[in-house]
Amino acid sequence: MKKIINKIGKTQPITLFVLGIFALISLYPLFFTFVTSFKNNTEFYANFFGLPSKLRWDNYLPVIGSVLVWLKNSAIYSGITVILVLIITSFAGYAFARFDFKMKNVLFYLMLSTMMLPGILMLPALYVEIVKFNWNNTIWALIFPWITGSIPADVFILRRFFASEAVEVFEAAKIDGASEFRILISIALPLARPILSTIAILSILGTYNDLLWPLIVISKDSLMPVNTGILTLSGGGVLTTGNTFAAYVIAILPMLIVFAFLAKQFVKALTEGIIR
Amino acid sequence: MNKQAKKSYFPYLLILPSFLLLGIFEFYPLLSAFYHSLFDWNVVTSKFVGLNNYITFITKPIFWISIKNILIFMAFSIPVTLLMTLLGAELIFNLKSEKVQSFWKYSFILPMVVPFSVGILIWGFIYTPYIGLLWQFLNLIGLGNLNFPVLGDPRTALIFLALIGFPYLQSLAFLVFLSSLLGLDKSVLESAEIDGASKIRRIFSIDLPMIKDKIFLIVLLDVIGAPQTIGSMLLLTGGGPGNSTMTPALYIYNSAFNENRMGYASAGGVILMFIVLGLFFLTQSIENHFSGEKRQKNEKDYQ
Repeated sequence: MKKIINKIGKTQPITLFVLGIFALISLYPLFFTFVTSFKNNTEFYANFFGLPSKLRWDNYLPVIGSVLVWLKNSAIYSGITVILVLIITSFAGYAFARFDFKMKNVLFYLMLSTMMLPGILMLPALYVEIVKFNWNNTIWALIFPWITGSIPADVFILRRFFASEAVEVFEAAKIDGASEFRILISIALPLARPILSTIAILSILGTYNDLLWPLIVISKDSLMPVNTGILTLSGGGVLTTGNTFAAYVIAILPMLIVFAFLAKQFVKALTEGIIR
Repeated sequence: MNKQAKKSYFPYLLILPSFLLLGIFEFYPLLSAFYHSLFDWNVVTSKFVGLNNYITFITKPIFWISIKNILIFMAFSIPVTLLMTLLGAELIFNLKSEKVQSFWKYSFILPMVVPFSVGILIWGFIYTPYIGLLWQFLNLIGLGNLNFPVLGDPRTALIFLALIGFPYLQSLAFLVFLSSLLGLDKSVLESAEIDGASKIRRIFSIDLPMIKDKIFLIVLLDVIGAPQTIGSMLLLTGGGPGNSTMTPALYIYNSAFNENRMGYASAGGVILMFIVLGLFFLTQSIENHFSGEKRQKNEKDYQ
């Protein structure tokens, strides 16, 4: 045993050194973005790698208004999507796990098979449909396709979870006279809380980072989510590099704060969500 | 009796919202895409043209250029990403303390919180000639004369798009590898070390074979995902210069949303679907081939 510890101990400094370089490289662009957001043009060119001489918060002034609007939009769009996804997919996942019904397997595999389709295949037809609904530049154009897109993987994950729960838990409640709906709401869903948080995180990450669909259906600046809104900044020559990077910092911040508090859940969600 | 009846419609009620949405926003557009791929179709009008869209699509040089580009892109990005991600996971796995392990784990997945397009824009800045991070860095170490517009040159644009994300630790793959490494049987690893196997030897003969399934899964996801690559091209190069970074997905996107040729784009989508399915089955059969070979070899060892 001692021998092993010695051996591991010896390689440790090298391992830590390599890891350090890895981390430095992967985090440096974020650090650079943060630092540059406080520089004016002169300082940006003259002192590229250095720290800013002072914190120029006024770099943030020209961009903060619009970025906050986009963040608010993202919060609303992703928030509503997540709530509906949780309700809709937990119902379906529970049904597929707990009941036998006609066509069950056909429907289940039909649903799963859509995950193999390239997203771009449906986009033109979906866009025409949205135009016919007159939903361009509305929240509906985003949330309904987003919810739909997350159904197969989420129902799969939830079905696996409910199927792994002991049947006795549900049967006992049934004998006590609880209705099926009651069992779902007051026994199954509370049990599923950890897996539901996984679903929520996956859903937030997926919608927050979607690029193509919001680019296609939301053309009005004031209605864009942050992921496409930020693209409207790079045009024009009015903003300095400091301004643009200030906008990036604001855009990154909310998710960073969420991550700081929920890092463990993030890790769990991604590890379990491999099926997506 | 009442209960029986209730039981029979209850599960359908539970799956109804899901399938209603799937019907309207998945299956309908899917069928519509298949159907309209035979039409000259824009948002307003449609005219039957038979297989014309398909024929035009696959005879256009730009389609074949995009296929070539995506193959180069995949050949470069998949192995590099996989290697670096495995390396990162192995390094952290070999740390002694659990606290130290999670510190590094969290710092590696931190970049995940950056919105996709912000990340791409930052990389666009890194590559900007003269003021970008890359040139400034080269300048700092005395190699400033190597500077050229890496995304503006058709010979290098695609490679540098594939290079985006250095050092290429994919959060998802990284966590999957790390968690399956941490789930390995400690006693096997320890006995290997007692037997005097070096760390490198152990990694290749125990660690990697034991998480082989996970590696294949990640490769499979990459192989399905890569042909659909569009983001960095759309935001940074628009497929240029001169189609050198054009991808099938971007070509389809442009046909639909810049040229309003929805039927043509749908035909392209169907073709891309067959490419993705083909790659999926190819990867799977390679995996089966490998695991089959392994099994035979093991059997031989036992004899």
